[in-house]
Amino acid sequence: MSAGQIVFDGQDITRLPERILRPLRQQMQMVFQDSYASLNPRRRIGDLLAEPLRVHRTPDGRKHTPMTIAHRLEELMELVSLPRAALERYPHEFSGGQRQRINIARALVLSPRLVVADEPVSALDVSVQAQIVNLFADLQKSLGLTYVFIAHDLAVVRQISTRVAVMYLGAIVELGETDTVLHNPAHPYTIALTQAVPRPIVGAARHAPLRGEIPSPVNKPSGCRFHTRCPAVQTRCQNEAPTLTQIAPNHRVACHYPVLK
Amino acid sequence: MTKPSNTHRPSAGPWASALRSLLRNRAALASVAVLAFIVVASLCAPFYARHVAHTDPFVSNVAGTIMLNGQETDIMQPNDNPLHLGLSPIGPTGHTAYLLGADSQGRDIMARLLYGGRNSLLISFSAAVLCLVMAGTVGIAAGFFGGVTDMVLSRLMDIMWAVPVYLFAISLSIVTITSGLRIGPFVIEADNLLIPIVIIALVYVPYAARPVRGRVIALRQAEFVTAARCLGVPRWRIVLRDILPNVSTTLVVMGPLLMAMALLAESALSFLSIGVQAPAASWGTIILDGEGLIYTRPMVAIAPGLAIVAVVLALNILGDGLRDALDVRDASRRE
Repeated sequence: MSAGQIVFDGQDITRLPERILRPLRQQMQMVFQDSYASLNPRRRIGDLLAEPLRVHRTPDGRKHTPMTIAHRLEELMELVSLPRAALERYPHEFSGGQRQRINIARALVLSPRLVVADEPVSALDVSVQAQIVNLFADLQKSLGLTYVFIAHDLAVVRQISTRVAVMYLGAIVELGETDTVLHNPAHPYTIALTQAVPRPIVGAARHAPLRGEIPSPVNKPSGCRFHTRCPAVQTRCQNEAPTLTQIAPNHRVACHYPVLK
Repeated sequence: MTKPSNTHRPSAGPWASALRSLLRNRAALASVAVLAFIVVASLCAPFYARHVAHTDPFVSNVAGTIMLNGQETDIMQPNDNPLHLGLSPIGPTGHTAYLLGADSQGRDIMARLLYGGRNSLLISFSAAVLCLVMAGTVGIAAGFFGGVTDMVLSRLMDIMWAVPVYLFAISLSIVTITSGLRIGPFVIEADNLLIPIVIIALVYVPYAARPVRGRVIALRQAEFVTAARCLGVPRWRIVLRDILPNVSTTLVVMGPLLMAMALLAESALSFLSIGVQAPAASWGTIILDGEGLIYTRPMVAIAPGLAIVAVVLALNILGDGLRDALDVRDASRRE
């Protein structure tokens, strides 16, 4: 990790050694973008899903028995709407959407409280995307999960999230309720993002896209990270980095000159 | 791409489907047949010597005679030159006894060829397996743990690589051939087959370890390894359950090719009389025996030479077939 800190449940876990981190991992799981690359091609689905149960113990410190593992796997298959027979198959025998269901099932094996989903639908067909997003939403309701859902498609973001953090060059520039951030964006970058969404209206006015390229994250611009491309840049932005400040209840922006409505 | 739908038949694993595609490869099947024939023939060496050729291929028999077409014939015969000076071993007889003739000590070449095959095949097979085990361990350790482990192991491999294989093998053989090998309390006698096996395995380790290391480095960054770490799977378990099965194809494909190289190395060492020790036979030692007879009885050197060529060729074709068969579409496409 290059900078920042990770706090889980009030505990700073940024630099915890693996030995202490391992039991905590049961409570936070991850779904990856590439549904194929994240499944070992040489192992059957049942074997892949059983792995977390084999390496972790039950809450009262006992090993999971083959019986309870088999039971749990069937439960999970039902949860993500896959046939039980899928457990006997290899990853390459599934479509992208089915594989993502398997990845979700694997993330849920240990009944985590937090699931980090890194662009879980961006590699899927649009029709399949909707199914997977709905699956995420259903599971969130029935299991009471918390997601950190990373996405670049604002339609997906609107569908799945309650709070949104907009990031530019590795830093949060705007944070707030989904409705607020997407309908009343205050940061020039968020505004540019929302305007970049294609609108299905013939003759709709098009907004000028952002100029220039994203600067290298290794060699970040001075002052505000966004100043090289900001349409409303001022001299102050070049020298002074803005901090994330509250501009309204539950709405924070890192900008010297936020657009307020 | 098949979807799991109506059929409830468990799907074939990567190994099963590789075997199926290997069985469709005629060249590979033919080479398996050739290898099987040579292996079985070599295994039958004692039977052949005792019950077919009726000779002891380890005992010098310069004064012996055999019955050919009802008449007693000397094994060592006067030369064809005008003065009939000197003696030459009998040439190919076309009979069960001395089918391919005799060597300069009057021993049955065919029987020795079969016995030699036992040693040559045993040494090259064991050396290939041992080499794969060592190279697999080194390659996985270097690739997976990286850092200092990788540095030390890779430089060690580079140093071994810098020395020509045969020169390296010859040097090690010369050292061990006189006094055997002493590792602590363990002593391996100089004529023990383990010595050529260990030496040949060792000199080819860098050649096999480097591709393994490369594969492991690629695999270490694969998302499924990250996923396993996220799940809290311990590192040794990741190596065994996630890395090793994906490297095993690389190892299996290298197997026959390594065995072919080991066979050539073994023959070379034995030809230089620093491999298999007399009176035991290997294809290399028989070629050495045939060297002095190359003008009068060329078959003594040609027969083992052909055996080596046949086995090396078959192993190479089999290796190619294995590579094609194990190149499982999805496993290879993503790398």
